[in-house]
Amino acid sequence: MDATNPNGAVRIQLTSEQAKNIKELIGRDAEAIELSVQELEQRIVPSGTISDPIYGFRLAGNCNETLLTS
Amino acid sequence: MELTRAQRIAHLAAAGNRYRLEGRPTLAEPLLREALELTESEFPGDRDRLAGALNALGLLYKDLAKYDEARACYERALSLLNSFPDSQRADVATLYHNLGGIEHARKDSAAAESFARRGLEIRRASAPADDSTLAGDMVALAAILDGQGKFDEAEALYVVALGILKKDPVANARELAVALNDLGANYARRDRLDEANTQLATAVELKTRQLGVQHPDRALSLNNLGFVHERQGDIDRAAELYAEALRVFEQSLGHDHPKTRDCRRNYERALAVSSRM
Repeated sequence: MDATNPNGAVRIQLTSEQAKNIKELIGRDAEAIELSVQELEQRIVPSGTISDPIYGFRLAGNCNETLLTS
Repeated sequence: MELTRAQRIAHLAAAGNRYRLEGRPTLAEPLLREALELTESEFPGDRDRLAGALNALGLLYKDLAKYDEARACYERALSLLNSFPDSQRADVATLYHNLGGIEHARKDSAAAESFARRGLEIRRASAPADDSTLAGDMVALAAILDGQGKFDEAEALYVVALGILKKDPVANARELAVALNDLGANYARRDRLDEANTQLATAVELKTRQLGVQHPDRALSLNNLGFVHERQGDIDRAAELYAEALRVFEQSLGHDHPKTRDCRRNYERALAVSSRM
């Protein structure tokens, strides 16, 4: 990464594997992800939920969900 | 607005975690990796921050089926916490729980059971009997026992856990849906198909409300409901459910993820049976 730029956005350079995965997911080429501070704020999970591992709070556990196959 | 280093790390972690919870792990990976690297460089002596960053990345790696990487994260976090006697026992219990989840995903039932029982033992010593996290540990262990064919012990754990979780169904909605999915799968494996159908249909309904229709966790329960319909002889409905689940798995997890591959096998089998009818 990549520092925070002058307007406060956070830019994260993707590895080639991450770029490939993201292209598969969204259908577009991408070299980096850039999020503004406001976008980052919007993506914060409300605190207090069981699956909310914001640092300094209780760690979150995974779920062992069964997927049925023959 | 200028962010402090701590704020930037917390924001990256939160944004990555949000993507993960939304069922888009690919988008979460660069954010959570970056959060860990920054935590290592900026707060090398802060074991709680480091354990948090490692656990968050471990959860994500499990979703991405990168099990070796996930286990390494959890073991490193556990080593950090275990080296300090005043560490939160709840966090240590959770790390054992998560290690059990990795081995369960890798189908090493013995290792998974050992980790899960250790986590449950620590939690029981440090949490009240009606704690929802304790219920989550029970559900996780029960799923591991199901994988070993220990259905009766698993069912008993699900029933106790559901009793705890239903006391506050709003706060525990996510865990409740997981418990219903897994109990439904337990019944399906024992050919208790009507009961399985009821539990799984409720799990799908809950997940649809909580997560929306594009989430891979909902797709997992759709797959299971399809499996029950297939066993009940309604092959056309089974194929429909498998097809919808497969579409979501492919879009959210990719074509080669183990869940996508398992669901595709189910779908192709249902189509083959349907074509012979």
